Amino acid sequence: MLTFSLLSIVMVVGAIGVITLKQPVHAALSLVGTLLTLAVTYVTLQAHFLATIQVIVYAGAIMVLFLFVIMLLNIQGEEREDTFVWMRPVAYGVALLAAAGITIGAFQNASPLPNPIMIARALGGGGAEQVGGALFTDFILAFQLVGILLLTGIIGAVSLVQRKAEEAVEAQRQVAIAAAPSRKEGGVAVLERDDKPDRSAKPTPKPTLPPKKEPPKADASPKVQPPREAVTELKSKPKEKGEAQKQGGEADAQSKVDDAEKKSSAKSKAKEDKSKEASKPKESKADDLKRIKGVGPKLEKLLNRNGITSFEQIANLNAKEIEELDSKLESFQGRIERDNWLEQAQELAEEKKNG
Amino acid sequence: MVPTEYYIALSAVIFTIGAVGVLTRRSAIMIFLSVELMLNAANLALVAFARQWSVLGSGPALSGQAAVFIILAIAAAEVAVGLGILVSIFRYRSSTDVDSLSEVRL
Repeated sequence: MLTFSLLSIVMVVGAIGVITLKQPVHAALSLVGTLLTLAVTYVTLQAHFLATIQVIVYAGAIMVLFLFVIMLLNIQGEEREDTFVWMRPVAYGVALLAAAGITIGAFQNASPLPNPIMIARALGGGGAEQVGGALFTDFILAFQLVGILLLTGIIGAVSLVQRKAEEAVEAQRQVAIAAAPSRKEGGVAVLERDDKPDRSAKPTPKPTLPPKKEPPKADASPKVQPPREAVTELKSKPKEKGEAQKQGGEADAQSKVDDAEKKSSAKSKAKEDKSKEASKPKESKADDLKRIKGVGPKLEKLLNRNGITSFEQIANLNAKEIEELDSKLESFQGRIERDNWLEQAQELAEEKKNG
Repeated sequence: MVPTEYYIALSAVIFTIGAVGVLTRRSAIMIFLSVELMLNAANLALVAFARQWSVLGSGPALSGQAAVFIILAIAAAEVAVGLGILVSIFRYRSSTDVDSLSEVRL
């Protein structure tokens, strides 16, 4: 009983840590602690093979994957404003009721525990031989289906993060333009420096682009600006608009380095953020209109096609121009007022001017 | 040996803590972690019952543990695909706030 009390206390503390800690890394580590304690609990329940698998697969592989994604996307802690303030107490109350109900139900309908000797004989300590025997005889169908499920999962995960070749090239160029210091946006701090080995391992390089990319890849941000402007100038004017339009696709393209690895794509996502951030203060021609809440990649392309490429333009729209622009927005009509673009654009334009 | 109902009570507590986490956290990663917590609580209940009903024979005795093994594999696949979706969303949105995700239409 003492063992069980200790284990249960550690597990509950770990679980509460998962849901209350602000930093995602802390919460993930708390979950790792909970899972390891759960593995020990499995041992007390005569499930030794499962305990091993729990440590290796759950606390080992799955949580490491979580930590990879958290660290490479550089996810910061969240702010604490709730959309519905009453949600939190209601959730606590309902959870308390549910836990109490289940616990009382469990204690009411308790069956006596069988003889430990019988348990040991039936379970055999839950060793690999016993569990394997059950899996390959009684549960062979479920076992095969899980295999198919894992295959589907692999294909799905890879296809989610894979990017087309043209977008990969375009993103390379975007990253070459912008490698200046980054700012925090939407709770995400972007990586300051490039990780060179990632891009140098690109499988489908276009011959002209990598040489242009080399100068801006310097670490120090001030040094980056002159070569970056040179690179910007090298591109012809018509292309700049295309780049602004393609900024939506740059994120996709950038991760073409290693398709199968979410890690690289997450890293590239951070780089893409950086390039998106950096291009805002430097390029006066094409702003990243997606920073306005309510504007996504498709809408940004639409705006660029109608000649709107910077925050100042949106901020200075008068009523007649708003109407004209609105009529051109096809399925996005009414957004200018609804999402209050003028105010947002004004703020963003000032931000751009100041920093 | 500790009676089964204690394990069930512990499993219920962990499960409800995970459910509260899913309801109250705003970041998608944190919701994922809470879902993993719920899955593990269910696994604990299954293993406890596997021990309780082991007297029924070799097949039913281990069905709980075999089920946990399969649920573990399913959780792994779910995490892989879910984090892939998360990374893809994060590219365009640069924030994992699910509340804002539900508001904006692309």
